[in-house]
This record gives sequence, structure tokens and C-alpha cells, in this order.
Amino acid sequence: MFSETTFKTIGLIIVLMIFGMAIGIYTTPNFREKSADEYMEGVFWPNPKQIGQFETMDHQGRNFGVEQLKGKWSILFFGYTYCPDVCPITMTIMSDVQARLEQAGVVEDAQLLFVTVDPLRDTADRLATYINYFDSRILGLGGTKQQVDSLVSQIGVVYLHGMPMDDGNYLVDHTASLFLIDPDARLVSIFSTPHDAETISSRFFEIKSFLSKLVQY
Amino acid sequence: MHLILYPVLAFIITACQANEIIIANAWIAQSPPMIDFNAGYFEIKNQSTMPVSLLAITSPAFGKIEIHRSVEEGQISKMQYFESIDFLPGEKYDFSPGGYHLMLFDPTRVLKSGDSVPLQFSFTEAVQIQVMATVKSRSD
Repeated sequence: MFSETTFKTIGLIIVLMIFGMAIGIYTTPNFREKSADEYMEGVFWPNPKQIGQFETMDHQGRNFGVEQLKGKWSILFFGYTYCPDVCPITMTIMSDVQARLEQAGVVEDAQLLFVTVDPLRDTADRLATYINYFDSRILGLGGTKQQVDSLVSQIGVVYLHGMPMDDGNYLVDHTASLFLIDPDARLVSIFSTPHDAETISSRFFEIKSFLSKLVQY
Repeated sequence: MHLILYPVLAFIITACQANEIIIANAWIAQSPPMIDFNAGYFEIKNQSTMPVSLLAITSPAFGKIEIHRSVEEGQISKMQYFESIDFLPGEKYDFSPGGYHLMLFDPTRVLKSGDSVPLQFSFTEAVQIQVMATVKSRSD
């Protein structure tokens, strides 16, 4: 059996171990807070997808590529002007979001982008008329199919053109989520449907504030 | 029964059935200037004891009207088309943005916010209901 000295030695070792762990925890800077600070639900952090080169054309005929994403927060949504129900609803919501960003004084740091998934029909002129009807502060992006695909494929948006109807028109199935890109052109979050302006803007403010503590934009 | 009573009776039956289908709050969303179609919305209640089917909608203001439904499957927005649509007895249905709606094609004139447009709904049993739909901006 163990002697009294052995018991005392084991007891001392256990006490010292607990003491050591306590010191370790105490001296680790922000032991608890640090792990909480680097995590936010629904944010692709710390490994967001970097958006690489792409070439699209905005509704005013200017080139819009990855350089135009840098330095600003971007909220992207995808649709087409012939879209009868869902896209006009989203455009109206995004116009409301734009107003909320202006009210909060962050409009200089952010841009709302409507990307057409029907670039053949949605020419720059058509996009411009559409954008100006809903909210001229939103930027419409189009170009050739190849150009639009260079952005769409990186973000993971899918779209499918339907069979033409009697009059030659067709519908397009498309991703209805919104995509948040940070000022370093990284995809940091996706907002699922159903959309409403209050949720989108408050979510944007939360993520912006969260990442601004971790990243020097 | 005198022969002349049959058409009268038929008219009375139709009128009763029409009263049993209530269509309310019909509105048409104003479209951007280059779009030659509109989406329409309404509420409908079948107060009868029988199911009824909506077979067609017509209007002097549009060339063609169809019943559509926006659906989402795995965050992909899609459109479904319906030849007709059934309403169960005692049930109320909302045709609202993002769900079931009317697609109104080929407007015969430019529609402005505040305009009123007649819509004629044709159901089974030859029931016809006409409502006035108000043209509104989506942001109103």
C-alpha cells in the first residue's frame, strides 16, 4: 500500500497542477473574450472567399471589375428586368435598404449592386431605365454573358433560362439570396430569403462592425 | 314550371354563387416604363359549400392574363404556371407578392398609379365576377 509520504506527494502535485492551470488561464490575454470576438454566426470568417478578376459593365456603360469592389462594402443581388414578381419586390426592398444606409451615415462606404442574369436582353440602356425607376442610387451590372458569368461563377450564383413562350419571352430561375462583400473584395456573408429591409440593414451593420474590429480596412 | 322561369332561375343561381365567392383588395403593381406586363394581386374567399375553380381572367386593359406562382427551392427563385386553380369551400386565399399572382400581359394603355382596371374572373358553373383593381406602386 502507499505510504503517508506518497499520499502527501501526490496531493501536492495535484494542488500544484490546479494552481498552474489557474495561472495559465488567468495570464492568457482575453482567454474567453478572444474566441468569442473572432466568431460571428453566418459570417465566413476567418476564411472568406476572395473574389478574383471579373469584368462587367455598369448601367452607365463603365467597366466594373474587382477594383470597383475594393474600398467599399457591397451588397449584391441577382435578377433580371423581365422578372415579374420577385425582382421588383427585391428592388423595392433594396431601395429601402439604401435609404437606411443613408440615414445611418454609411452610404459612402457601401454600394448596392443589381446583377442581371439575363445579359442578352438586359442591355445597359434597359438596365438604366429599370434602375432609375426603382432607385437611381443602385448600380446595375451587366455586359456579355461571359462577363456576367465571370462574376456569377465566383459568387456561386446559379441561373437557368426557361423555354421561350409564344411571344419569344422566357423566364429565368435564379438565386434569390443576397451576397455581402467586404472592402477587400471577399465574400463574407449570404443573406437568405425572405428578405426585408430591416433585417438586411441591421445584419449589415452588425457584420461591418464585427469585421472592422478584426481587419484594418 | 313555365319555360320563361328557367333563364330567370339560372340567373338567380349564378348570382347566388357569385355572392359566395368574394374577391377583395385587387391591385396591380405598376411596372417600370420598358416592361410590357404587370403583376396583379388579390384576396379570394370561397364562402360556398363546394370547391370552385378559377378558369380564366380577362380585362379590356390587357391582351392576356395568366395565373402564376413564385416559388423558392433551395434559395432558387422559380415561376410556376397554372391553367386553373381550385379554391376549397370556406377557405381564404392570398394572391400576394412573392407567391400566387396574376401575370397581366400586353397592356392596351399605359397604366399610372391610381388608375382603376376592371378584371373579369371566370369560374366553374359559369360564375363570373368582375372587380376593379387599383394600380399602385410597390413602394406605396
